Amino acid sequence: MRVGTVVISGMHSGPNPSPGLGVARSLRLSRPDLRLVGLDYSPNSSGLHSDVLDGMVRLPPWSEIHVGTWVEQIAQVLEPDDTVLIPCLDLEVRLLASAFGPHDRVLSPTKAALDIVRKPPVDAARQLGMASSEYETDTSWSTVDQFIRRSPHGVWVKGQHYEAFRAYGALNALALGDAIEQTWGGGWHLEAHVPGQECGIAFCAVNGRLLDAVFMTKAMLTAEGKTWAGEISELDGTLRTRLAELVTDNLWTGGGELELIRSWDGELTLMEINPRLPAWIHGASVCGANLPAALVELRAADPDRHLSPGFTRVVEEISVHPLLGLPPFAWAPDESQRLASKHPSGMPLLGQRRLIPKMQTDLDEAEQADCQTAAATSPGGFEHLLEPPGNASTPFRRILLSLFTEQVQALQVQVQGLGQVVLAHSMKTCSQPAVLIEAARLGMIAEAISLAELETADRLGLPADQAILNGPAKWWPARDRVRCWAFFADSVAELRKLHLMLDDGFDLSADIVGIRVAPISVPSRFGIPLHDAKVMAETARLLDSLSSRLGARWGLHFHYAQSNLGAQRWERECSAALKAADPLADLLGHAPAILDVGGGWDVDDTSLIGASLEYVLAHGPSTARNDAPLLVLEPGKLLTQPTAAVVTQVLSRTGSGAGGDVVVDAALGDIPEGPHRPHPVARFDGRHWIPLSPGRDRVLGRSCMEADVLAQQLDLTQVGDEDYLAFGMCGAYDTSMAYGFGLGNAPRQLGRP
Amino acid sequence: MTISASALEQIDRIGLSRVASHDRACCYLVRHGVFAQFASHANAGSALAAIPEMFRWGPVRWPAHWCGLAKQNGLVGDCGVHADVASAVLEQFAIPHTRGRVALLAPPLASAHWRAVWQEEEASDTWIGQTIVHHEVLHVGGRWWDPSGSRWFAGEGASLASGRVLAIREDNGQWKMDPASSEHFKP
Repeated sequence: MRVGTVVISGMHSGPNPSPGLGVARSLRLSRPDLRLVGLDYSPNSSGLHSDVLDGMVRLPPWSEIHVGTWVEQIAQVLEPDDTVLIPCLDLEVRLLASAFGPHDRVLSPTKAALDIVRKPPVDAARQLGMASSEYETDTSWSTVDQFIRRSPHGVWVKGQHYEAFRAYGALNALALGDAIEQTWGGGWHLEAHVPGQECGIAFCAVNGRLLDAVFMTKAMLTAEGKTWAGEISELDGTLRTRLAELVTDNLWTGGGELELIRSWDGELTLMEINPRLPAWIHGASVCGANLPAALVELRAADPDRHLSPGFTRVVEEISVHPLLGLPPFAWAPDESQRLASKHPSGMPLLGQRRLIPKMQTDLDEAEQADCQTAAATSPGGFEHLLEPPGNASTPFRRILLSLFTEQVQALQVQVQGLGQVVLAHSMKTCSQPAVLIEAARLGMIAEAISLAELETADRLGLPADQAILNGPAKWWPARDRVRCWAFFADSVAELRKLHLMLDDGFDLSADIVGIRVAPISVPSRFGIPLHDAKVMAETARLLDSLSSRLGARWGLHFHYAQSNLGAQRWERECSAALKAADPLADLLGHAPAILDVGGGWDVDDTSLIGASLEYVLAHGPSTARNDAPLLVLEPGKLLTQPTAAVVTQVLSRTGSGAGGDVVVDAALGDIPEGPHRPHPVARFDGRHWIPLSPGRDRVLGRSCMEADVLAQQLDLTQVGDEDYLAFGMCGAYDTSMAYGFGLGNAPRQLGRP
Repeated sequence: MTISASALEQIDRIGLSRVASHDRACCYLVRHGVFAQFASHANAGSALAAIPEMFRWGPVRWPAHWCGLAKQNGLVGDCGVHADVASAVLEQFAIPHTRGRVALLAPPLASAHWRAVWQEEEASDTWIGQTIVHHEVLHVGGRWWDPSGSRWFAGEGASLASGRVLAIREDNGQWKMDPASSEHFKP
């Protein structure tokens, strides 16, 4: 068949263009005699105005499309025997595959072939010999939180149909996922960001026969990460062979694009497969690889061709087509700007209207359900230890001491084989007497951030002369005499002030005089920036004289929340910062007596601590390996977070009927971290505590604060008025920072009746 | 493109859209919810721009009542609803205006979609001609406002998202013809 007319959709050419105009230009480059017809769904699809087209088919936006009529009209467009359609919109390709099935003159993949386009493209990556990014399809809060923490380069929130956003925290990711669902319909998942150079492979095939393929490496990117200029090269032999096999196995017809990341050492990771030619396709054509022409003419690539090295885009203004006109500026509510959209045709409506057949994902629904149940229960287990609520007035807190013991024992296992390690209990994460007594029984020492905490520890079996003083206000409230095992100055100013205090008669005795080193690449209000040479010299001078005055040895301390950084970043920051111990040892003339590392580890990462400490010892200062200083570990909330539960009672439902949010008699003051961190929640069914499953409902606190949302993404359909709910993981800061908000007891707290 | 007198007469026969109330809670509550949201906007422009976002464009059976506009997935309105609500918003902000109507040259393949969607909902499709369709607009301070597209436009001859304005008139006024089409006006 000699093709006379090519109908091309996806004609919008904006900052984030669709491929249609590039396909049309490429065809015109190859076949000046072809009749080119642009098809799109809005006069704002700017490529429709281009004079490269001989005609246009303008359909109403997807919000106004009647699908039956659309099918009839597309069939009419394809009636002439010499006409082919090259669809260039992802979702339109899916709808065509569903509505038409295999069609000789629709040059796009069939429904079966589209199976390999699923996200993430794990199977295709395997077949191509490429890596694929880590991903997570369970979108419950706790799992999202864990996945982000374990993705050191950040994550992407990706829609089932379209769209991807970079996310920087669990709540941010959940909000973006919600926005994708609202905009496009369908689900979403998380993928780990893969650092590297963005590149892509464009290919075209007919009935499983690969016609042509070309490799493009992005050289310049727009602010949205879209290609502005790129290097073009032939696909190498192995990759081309594997791509040909993939195309054959799936009987691929039409254009396609592999989106890739090339790492610094050259490894390729397959990020996505698009079922249409890429928007940069005309760049390849002007370099000598004209894939749209190959597709229309069923022409294989010339093996002797020589490609130009690359292409760049330029901005071009053209006059508006008289038949289309130019709709004036559309105003937006609330004085916001309506920016030029990638989708003037309203393509998200295709997803929202559920016109697209369900895509296969890596986990089927049953597997996803299993994941969700597991996710709902995995952080908890607390419900098995919790007694029935009885008649006690709610809200109340229960200390689950056995969970503290279990955590300490798990930690002891983690540090086995690392040399001499001392475990410190951070008083600020829980100063409940039962916990302090148990910490002492288990052989821990205390880490205090005030003299008041130090005295409490001492009273409850954690002796002051074995304790560590940390933080910026460790000498508060003022005392004439202090005895501790070690302290770590937080600033050069504190070192100077200590000299003055000693001059004034302050009676301080300590075995270890230390400093806290600031992290190098994450901002922190704490610690001394020892990577600054002048600061290092001054610190060494003050530390030397202070240790001499006190007759103490010296130590170095690093502290940053692992729960914020994740294990890998924490290891790197810790070992980089602690390297300051080597030059300090040179300046002071002797090695440190202790290295103290800490900073709120996430409970889920207990099993990673041993490996993290091994990393720090291997990659940190050489003195850690050569001089065997005592290692002190302060894992903070990791030990105490599971140690308490808060039991509360439902006051009312805010919705009508089953489901919807509930208001409970606990509030922010009882669970201060409720709005910021996922907690497992269980419902008392009259006999047992039953974990709640993920859903769309929220548990709202009793207070009148907007932020008083204690839990979200729960299924509360089984929860009724006056039911008891229990929040697990309420030890640590949920206990130590709890306050009597909204109880009317401020006068009593202030010491007045 | 030619426009015939009969096409304009057909448009003239369509009454201006006015959303009615049952004078009962069913309508009071819907109307209250709508205008409470408009009242939160800083100015009339912002409130007008919110109308097509609040009322998803779609078929309406006339005569329409407020309670009938509330569907399972939110509020639905055609250009008549958009125009009537916009008029009420302008009254709230004490901005003088008049209602108006347009004879629109629709894209050739669009009418079939609109007719099919309206017929599926058993709503009257008299506003859809073969090539020319009826569209309701407002005349505000000497300018024309398209309440379905949230756009100012220049009147006859302008391009809107849904087609070209072949003729336009204020309520009770005379048609003004697009010069490009009036040359071919068939009386």
